[in-house]
Amino acid sequence: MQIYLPIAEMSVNVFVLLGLGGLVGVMSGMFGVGGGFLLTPLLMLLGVPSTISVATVANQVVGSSVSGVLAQIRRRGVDFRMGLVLLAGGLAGAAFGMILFEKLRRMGQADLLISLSYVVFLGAIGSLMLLESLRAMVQSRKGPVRRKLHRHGLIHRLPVKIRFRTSGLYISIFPPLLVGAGVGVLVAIMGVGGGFIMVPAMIYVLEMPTKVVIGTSLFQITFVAAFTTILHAVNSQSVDLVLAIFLLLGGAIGAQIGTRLGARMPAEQLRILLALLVLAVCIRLGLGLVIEPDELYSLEIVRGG
Amino acid sequence: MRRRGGQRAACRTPDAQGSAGGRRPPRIALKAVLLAGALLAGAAVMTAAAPESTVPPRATPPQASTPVRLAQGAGGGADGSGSAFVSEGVLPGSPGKGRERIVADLDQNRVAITAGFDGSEIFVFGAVKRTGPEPVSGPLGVAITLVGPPEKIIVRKKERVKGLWINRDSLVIEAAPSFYALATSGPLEQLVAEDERLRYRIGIRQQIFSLEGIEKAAQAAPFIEALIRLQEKKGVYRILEGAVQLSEATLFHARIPLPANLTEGDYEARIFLTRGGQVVDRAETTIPVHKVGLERWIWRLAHEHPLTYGLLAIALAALTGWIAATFFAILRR
Repeated sequence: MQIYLPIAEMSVNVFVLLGLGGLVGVMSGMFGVGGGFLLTPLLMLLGVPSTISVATVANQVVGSSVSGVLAQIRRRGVDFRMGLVLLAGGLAGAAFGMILFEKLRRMGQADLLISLSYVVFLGAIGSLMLLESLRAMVQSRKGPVRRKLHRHGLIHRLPVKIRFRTSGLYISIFPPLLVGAGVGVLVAIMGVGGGFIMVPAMIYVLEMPTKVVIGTSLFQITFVAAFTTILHAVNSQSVDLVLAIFLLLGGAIGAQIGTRLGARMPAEQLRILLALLVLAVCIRLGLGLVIEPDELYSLEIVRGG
Repeated sequence: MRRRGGQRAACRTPDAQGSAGGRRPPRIALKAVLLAGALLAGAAVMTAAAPESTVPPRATPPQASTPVRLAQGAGGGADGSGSAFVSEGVLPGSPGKGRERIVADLDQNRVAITAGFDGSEIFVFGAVKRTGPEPVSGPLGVAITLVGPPEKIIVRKKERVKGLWINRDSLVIEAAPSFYALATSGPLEQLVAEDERLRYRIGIRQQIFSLEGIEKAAQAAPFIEALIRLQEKKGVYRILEGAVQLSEATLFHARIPLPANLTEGDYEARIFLTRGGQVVDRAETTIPVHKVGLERWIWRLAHEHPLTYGLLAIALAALTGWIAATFFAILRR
């Protein structure tokens, strides 16, 4: 069964879309990450133009994180004050990312920007995760090592300190603003939720307690992705509503399967698996930049002018 | 190739070879050809053998994916007044032209892109109407072109810069057809002489315009070649030599497949009748291709009210995500 995507102006098999959404749903159910970092490159492989992939995945992220946020709010897993500070940074970052994205799109370098950011971020996060999990595995064999409760680093010396009650933190406003802004830029240019960067940053940089990390990051991601969707819709009319809805439907089904699969596997192995997957996507995209492509030429259809 | 029974039997039952996809051949299209043929046979002075022995066997069985509808007045006339195509009649220039005219029609005079649109097909059929004996100035040929609305396209070339393959040089094509199909009844070079091809803009290259100066033409050539290659790969540029079935130098028909990735707009269908490489008549008509229903509504909203569209996209995505999650949460209990 084929469905015609009105914005991408192409016809795609419904089951391919559901399957793609489902695959990403399985990922998010298993590992607790959004999976946008897989969805955008997969859509591009399917032949969806890169700008439409990025914009549509931003829209899809809104849908896939909304129910998570609602559940986390009920569980009191959202630090609203921290969320709002991160959001303020996120909106600024997304706006800046959009300007950068539009500029490079006009120059014909949007693909390069997208691929390069993927390679850099997936590479960094993937290797960090892999090292961390391997170290944790080795340590768990040697016996637990106690981490210091309080470290006084740079983030405690910066001015304009704010008390974040839910997180039990008293830190400067700047680190969360910067973390938020960084993730905002990524949402705009990579079409990802940014959870895979946000969560480690919150744990290791902001040193937030784990119980509020997921909820707060989802809270920020939902709004930043919504904002980015509107920016893309207004700037380049590249959000494909039909595509987003089919991806969401598939994703909802996949997430159920993923949650069950994830519950059966030990957490450490799961993290190693995710790290390897992230690295695989990174290597695949990286090779695309380095190896001589079969087709050197590419077309861009200039719409509306 | 397998052929069951005699030729006459093959005409009644379209051969198994063409209907391999298991699709039911719409007989009505064949009937239309036969009907038009029967009507025109009276008007035309036939010099060859009796029609029923040769007409149908060469007609490959139709493989239409869309139901074939007969446009109004399909069989309507030896005078061609009911036909969708407007024939030029007498072409200025060389003598001898104008004695043969095209009478043709299409199975659908518009294409609607619906939510389930998966490509379509245009069936062109017609006949040659003669006011005298068949001329002997070379063999008869039919070329049919279908040209989609022009687009502005930027062709980019990747180059290796510091180990990375990135876009460097580019060429702006001011206008290239978003779709181009050329179906002929034989090899194009023999069918239409080069000057005639240039004059009537038959061929993909004749449809592509860039504003680069002559001095840059040599550099532009590989970009234009790449454009054609990529568009052919996408299935929007097609050269279908031999796709026009010409029977008895009178009846012709062709199927032009339309891919699923069609651009909206007016598509120009042109039929050229040639004799000895010279165009003796041409006929043309316009086929509007438009999104309809929901597809049209979504596209218009996105382009005319982008902010509303963006808000709607967010609301719908949030709603879909929430409903799906709630649904599965209920299921799990």
